[in-house]
Amino acid sequence: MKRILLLSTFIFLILGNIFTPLISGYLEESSYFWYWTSQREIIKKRYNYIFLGDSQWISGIDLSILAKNLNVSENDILIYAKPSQQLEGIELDLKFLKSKGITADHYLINLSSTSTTVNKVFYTFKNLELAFGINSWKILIEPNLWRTFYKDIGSYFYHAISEFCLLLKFNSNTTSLFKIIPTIDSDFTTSKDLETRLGPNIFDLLNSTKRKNLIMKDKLGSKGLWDWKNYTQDNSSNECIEKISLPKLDQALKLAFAKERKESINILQRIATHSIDMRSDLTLVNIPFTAQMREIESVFPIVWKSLDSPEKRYKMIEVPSNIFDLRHYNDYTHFNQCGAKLFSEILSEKMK
Amino acid sequence: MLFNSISFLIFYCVVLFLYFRLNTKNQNILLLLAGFSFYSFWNLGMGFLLLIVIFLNFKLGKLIYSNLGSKNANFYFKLGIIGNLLLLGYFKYTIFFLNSSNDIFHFIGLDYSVAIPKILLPVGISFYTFHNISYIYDIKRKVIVPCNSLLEFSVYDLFFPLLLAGPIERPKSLLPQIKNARVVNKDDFNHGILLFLWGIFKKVVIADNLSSFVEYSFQSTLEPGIINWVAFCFAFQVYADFSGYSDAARGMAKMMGFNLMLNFNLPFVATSVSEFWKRWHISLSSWLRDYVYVPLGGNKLGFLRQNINILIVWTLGGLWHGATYGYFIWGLYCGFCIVVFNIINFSILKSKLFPSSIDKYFVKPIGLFLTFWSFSFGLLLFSIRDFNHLLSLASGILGLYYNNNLFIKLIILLIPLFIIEGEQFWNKKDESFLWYKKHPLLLGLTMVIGLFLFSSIGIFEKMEFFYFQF
Repeated sequence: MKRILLLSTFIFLILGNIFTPLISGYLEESSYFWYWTSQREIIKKRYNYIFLGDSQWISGIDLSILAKNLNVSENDILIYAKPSQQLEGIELDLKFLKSKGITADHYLINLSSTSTTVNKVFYTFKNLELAFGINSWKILIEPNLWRTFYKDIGSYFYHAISEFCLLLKFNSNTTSLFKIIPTIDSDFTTSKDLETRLGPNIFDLLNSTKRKNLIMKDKLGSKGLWDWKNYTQDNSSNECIEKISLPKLDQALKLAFAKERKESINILQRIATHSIDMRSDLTLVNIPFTAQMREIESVFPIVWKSLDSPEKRYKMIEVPSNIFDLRHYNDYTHFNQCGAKLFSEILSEKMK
Repeated sequence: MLFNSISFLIFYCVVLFLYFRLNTKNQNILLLLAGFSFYSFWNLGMGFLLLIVIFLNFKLGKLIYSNLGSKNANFYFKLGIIGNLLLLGYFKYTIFFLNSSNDIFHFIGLDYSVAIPKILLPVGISFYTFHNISYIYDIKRKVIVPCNSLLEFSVYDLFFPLLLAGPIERPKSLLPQIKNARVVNKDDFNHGILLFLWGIFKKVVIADNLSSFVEYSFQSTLEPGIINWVAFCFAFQVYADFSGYSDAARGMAKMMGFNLMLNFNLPFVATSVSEFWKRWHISLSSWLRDYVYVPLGGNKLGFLRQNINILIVWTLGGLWHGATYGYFIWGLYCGFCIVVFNIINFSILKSKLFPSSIDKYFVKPIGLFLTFWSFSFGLLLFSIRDFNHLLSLASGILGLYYNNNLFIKLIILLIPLFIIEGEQFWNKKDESFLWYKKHPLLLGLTMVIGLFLFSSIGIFEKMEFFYFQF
């Protein structure tokens, strides 16, 4: 039986790895984005600017405006941002890019409440990094990262096994779709009615996810920019019209952003040292959230201020928040195309 | 540390690796240490409490045996039974008792309430208490002689595969296995692996997928008819969860040369409630039969007394599961179902009014249908919050509901269960996967498909086994 067990496990691993690219089309949006990044080809070796960070960059940049104002070609700018990205992931990405010989004169990193406080986004990031991070296997051999990524020896071994059995990396995606009550990010999952919560037919759900991912892939092109969650061909978010009405956020959410994640600041200092070693400039950028969201941020303004010390080894850019209103946003945290144009104008001015 | 966690798998592999390198005595020392660490992983204090309980029961067993035939034996016996029950009562029933007292004060208009203390329930206490009671009881009725070695008796209580949720092994069966050298042959070891894997599959793929739907439904307002689907899913969830745990426990024990009793034997093919309880959680049903029902007189004191005994046994059985009104009513309900069946059996079925063909094609299928649904609806009592909730659930039973998506997902989830255990039923076997040696290719195919399902739709968020709460 030993032979049968080994052989069937081997066959399963081979088949699982063959099926993985087929399944990737059915991933939820953040996972798909990370997966897309892991497959992304970067042709150039030297850039003027590399943007690292989270989805605020992805939906917040108008590349043509930025390139024009900075007097460089669009090809001289690399947007290497991922949804829910954290400083731990940025450090890993920097190392990866360097290992491939890809460097820049200037590195820009966006900081916000989601990357500097203890909140749910950090846990989402961990799962995404372990499943879809480029060279995520290196975490297994970097003891200084273990405390960040693994809660116990079991999670270490789970990650180790998933490096061979790629289907395990897709598990949280496949289960959230397949659960009797699906837990994907969709309108019907917020309904209080059980009939609605049971969701559409599983095959329809799979088709719609695949269709959305194809649209996202198409929009991402080679630049890695996307008007956040816009799956239509509609470019109306170019027009500066208030299209969203956001409910007032629950003040209890304040708690979610109330505790500083000290480790993130330590990593930021490591990244600063790293950039000095590479003889590059590092700039930290504070991209404003909507007014409602800013109201509940209690700790981030303090963290941001504390980073602005006289001995700092980076530049800091704070984009004024008061010039943005709901006309510029897709949701609480992401600019629409109108907001991206205005933001890119201001950012490029400040970068000069 | 749950069976369905990688941490446990590593723990078990280490234990197994050491186990096969030791002689019987050292194996027992290893099992004791492993059991204590496994148990203390939840709560170290409760681990030490269990050690004290083990020591006291060991001593009491010896005292009962050395005084057999004298009044002292009775005294020590009663002390042992009452002591074990008091311990269980304190941890499990104090809050229920105080809450019930407050409810009574409220009901009779007294403006008084007792403060409710915080008591942490030691996991598995219901199981190890029953273990110890049967040990003392069996010594008293001379079924066994007491264990001479504290080490062996400690392993009896601390044997980690069955420590948290059974099967509730009998001392007569388990103690000799601890005492004597275990012989592990290759076939048993291989079959143990398969039982373990199948148990984990049932838990991670079937039970945990069903549980998210069941839990969500309990918190929602349900349309008429949905409750029937919820009851169906809940029955299969509890079955896959608990039989999965038992299979995993039996598989692990088998790999170490132990034979634990069968705890589930295809309960959903039972054609009567009476038969159902001979197939479901067999170790508890038979324990209640041997240590409560028979001492109460069993069926030897007439039909009326027999059914009263059944009601007493099942009410206690309900309360064993948990100290809430829901479990109390559930126990009573199970007893009531058996009494109703006994009456029907006594007045109609036993008299062989029906020809065998009608019995086979008509009476038995009806019995199977009624048995399954009476059990499934009974399980809903676990979730009852109050009387109005009970009424709202009951009123939903009569509605009709169909959702294609729900149906398809249930089919996908339950097909592996129907195939693997269907084979067991078809070939009239007590255990699944006994065919593995004859059909290696089929085993390979089953493994590949199982691994696919496990890694793609298995729920890896750590979800505790349903029966841990008992």
